[in-house]
Amino acid sequence: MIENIELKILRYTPSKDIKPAFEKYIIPLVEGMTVLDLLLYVKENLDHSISFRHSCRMGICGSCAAIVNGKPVLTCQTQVSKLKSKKVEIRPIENFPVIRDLVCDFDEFYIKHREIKPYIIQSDKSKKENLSLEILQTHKEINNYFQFSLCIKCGLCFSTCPITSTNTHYLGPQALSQAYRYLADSRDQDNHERIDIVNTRNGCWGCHLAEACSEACPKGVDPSLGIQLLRRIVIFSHLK
Amino acid sequence: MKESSLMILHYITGIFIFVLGAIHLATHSFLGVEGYSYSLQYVSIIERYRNPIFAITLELLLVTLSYHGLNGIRVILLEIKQGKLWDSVVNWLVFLLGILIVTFGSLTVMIIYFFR
Repeated sequence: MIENIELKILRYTPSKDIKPAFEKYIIPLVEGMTVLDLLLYVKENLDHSISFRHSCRMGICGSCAAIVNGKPVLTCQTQVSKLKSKKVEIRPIENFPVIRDLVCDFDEFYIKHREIKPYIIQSDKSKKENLSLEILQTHKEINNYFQFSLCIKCGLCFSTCPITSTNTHYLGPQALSQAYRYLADSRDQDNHERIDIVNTRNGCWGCHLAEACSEACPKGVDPSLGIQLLRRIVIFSHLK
Repeated sequence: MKESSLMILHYITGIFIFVLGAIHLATHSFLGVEGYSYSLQYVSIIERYRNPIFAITLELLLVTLSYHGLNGIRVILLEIKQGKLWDSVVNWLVFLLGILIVTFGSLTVMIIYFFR
């Protein structure tokens, strides 16, 4: 006997709808189905008008983030069988304006990401201009920032952060942990500008250490640890 | 002043409060020469306040507690609402309140030390 799944999707088009409302779909469950597969089934067979983002289907692109049964997850990485429920409820991620259904506007998120200068700053001109030059690092130097380089910018940490939801100026866990990722990189030099950007109330000092970001990250990155390490860098750079 | 400077001071004053607070409470109870039973009597308190080491400790405790507490309130207020005007109003209010508390507290410590 084929098992059915009751899928509820929070649908909303700001220009058309007064408020968001759930729409219900019944989907036959196939072994190995992910939540993204449920959405694709709806799109292909039941309702073409539903909107959601997806791309790689293997937890690399970070475009399919959503709140599934109350938990922030990547839909492509979430097996329906693991949810242990015949009812699946999908909402768009929090702290982002909704464009349509599950599609959110990431503009503000990327502005904040760009603000912390997410690239290696080389002050040595000879190194900067020599594109074929390799700057070697030891394993220890790589381990200083490695986990933070796994960030796929899915927005789940930003979505669960209680500070981001109350303070729109707060840079957020993604941008701050990425600031640490570059500050901890031994190839990065002349980084006082980045330190000044994060050394504010809306920067690394705004974090309350709720650790919701670390709990939500699907790639195992620990942004709250990154923010604490960032505070250490800021303090020691200030004392120098 | 940079936020990191304010927070470094916040951490340092936190440690100071722990140490000075422990000394303060200990002096009031078992370290007092008058013994635990009489430690909170008027004469014992005035006697203790006239001790220069106790007066300095009290003054330091006043300054560190005022800074730590008011900076904590400042941080909470700055997170309640955002905006340049709000930031500026909160910072100035907290600064002036700090001056007022420290001045009033210092006067109390000095009056007891010099005139009682």
